[in-house]
Amino acid sequence: MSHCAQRVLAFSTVLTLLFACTPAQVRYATVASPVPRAAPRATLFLVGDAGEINPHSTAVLRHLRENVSSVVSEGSGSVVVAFLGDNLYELGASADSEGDRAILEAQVAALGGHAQVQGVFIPGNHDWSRGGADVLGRRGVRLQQDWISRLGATSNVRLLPADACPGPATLDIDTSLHLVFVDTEWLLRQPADDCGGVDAFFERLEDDLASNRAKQVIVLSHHPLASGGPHAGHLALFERGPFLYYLLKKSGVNVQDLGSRRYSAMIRRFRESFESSGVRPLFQASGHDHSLQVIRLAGPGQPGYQLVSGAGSRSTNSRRIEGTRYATNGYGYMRVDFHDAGPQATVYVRPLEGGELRPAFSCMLASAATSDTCAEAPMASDAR
Amino acid sequence: MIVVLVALQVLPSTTRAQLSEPCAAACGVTLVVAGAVAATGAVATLGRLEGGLSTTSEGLWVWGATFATVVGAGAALSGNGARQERAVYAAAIGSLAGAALGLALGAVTDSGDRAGSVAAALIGAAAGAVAGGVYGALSHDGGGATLTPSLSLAVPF
Repeated sequence: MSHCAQRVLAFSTVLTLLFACTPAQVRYATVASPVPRAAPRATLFLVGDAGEINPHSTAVLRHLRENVSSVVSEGSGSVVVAFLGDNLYELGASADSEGDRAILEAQVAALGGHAQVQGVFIPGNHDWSRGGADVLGRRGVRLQQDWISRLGATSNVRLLPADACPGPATLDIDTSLHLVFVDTEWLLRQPADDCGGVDAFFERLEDDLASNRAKQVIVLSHHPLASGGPHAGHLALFERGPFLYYLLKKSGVNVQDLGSRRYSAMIRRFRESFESSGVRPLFQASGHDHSLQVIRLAGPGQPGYQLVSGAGSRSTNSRRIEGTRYATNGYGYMRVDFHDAGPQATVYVRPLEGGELRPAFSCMLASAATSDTCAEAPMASDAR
Repeated sequence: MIVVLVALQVLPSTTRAQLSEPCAAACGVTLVVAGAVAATGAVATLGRLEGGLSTTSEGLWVWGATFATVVGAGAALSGNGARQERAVYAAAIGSLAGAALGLALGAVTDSGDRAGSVAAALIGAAAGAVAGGVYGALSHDGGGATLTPSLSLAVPF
């Protein structure tokens, strides 16, 4: 081998090691603020991507059930548990699968059977048969909706938006809290059906936001507007395979990645709708990336925060991006308590190596228009 | 990559890509890398044109396309080691130049779109690899034919 070739090889090796040694997961110290003593007037639980029964999801759903029960026993106000999509891995509901139904039942059981607790399932890309044909996806979502409505005979639970349409479906859990549920997989697919087109959806969204301007608005969808995870192209060099796959993830080739043209167009349309309606939601809650992230968003048309809660049964790494307040690749879910003093978000985490879930981060969320009240967690002492 | 480089002496009726002297190990590795770059660029082109592929198996697409590209290029160039070597290294240089050009064009046309810039670099690298490979093969003077294969790949179809 020539001298020149050896130098090129050595340089490439150093470069590769440099990338390969970059930590894949930002590591924050655990910061659990004391919960305010006054009972919240409403509580929203956020759990996503819980569509697989494994030791992690079992622990997460058990802890969620205990947490929901404790809120109910404290006599708090309205309680909503939102399942943020990918409720059934891998390909959504199939008619002949008892196992699929068992997975849904396990999630519904986390509501604890309390009549005052409302459960809402949002469809994700896996519920839409992952990359399958639109007709298969629609069938799977409608079947899941049917199963959930049957489970609703004993629990206050439903799938929103209904009928494999994009919505927006809304739910007022308090006189001043307006939840907006969106099927973002429909927006990415834009299937030929009778749900109306994309423009009609965003018109409906803007109308709904404008008519609820006086309330705190929260948008819930499977796909996030921002993330520090692999779906946003944040991954280590060989985290998901060879180098070229890394480049492929970075280049927005897959429609499920934030960098793809269709996904980025969807994000742009959301921002335009928020801006034109004059309503910047308090936060957007999503799953999709299998991590737990609290991200402060800034800029025109952005909600106050992006909460990514997609670690109900799976785990992927997440990086610190602009606005990150906390991020972990542990399993878990989030809880947002709405107090008179403001909304407080708490992240419950089960470490990768197992064990009990514990509150790992908590902060008061500020509206998009006001200065941030949610401080970034300190880095773990052994983190870089 | 090692697996791809392993000589597969299967059936005489198979499509075969032979690497002959002087195009040996380093040349073979370069062929595989250039083939992978071209395949990834092809998938990136498809994905960007479509607005995003609706599959999660783009990795498999890449590997399949890489294998086809490497075997196809090797078969097309077989029988003349010097021409192989020239085409393969021209493809590598072309892919580097194409990546740089794609990155520059991506930066100009997709300001602030990092994914678009990476895609532009991949697409440029693929186009450069193909253009370089074709140029390298066609511009060879025809000398240097060898009969001894140093490496061979075969697909039983």
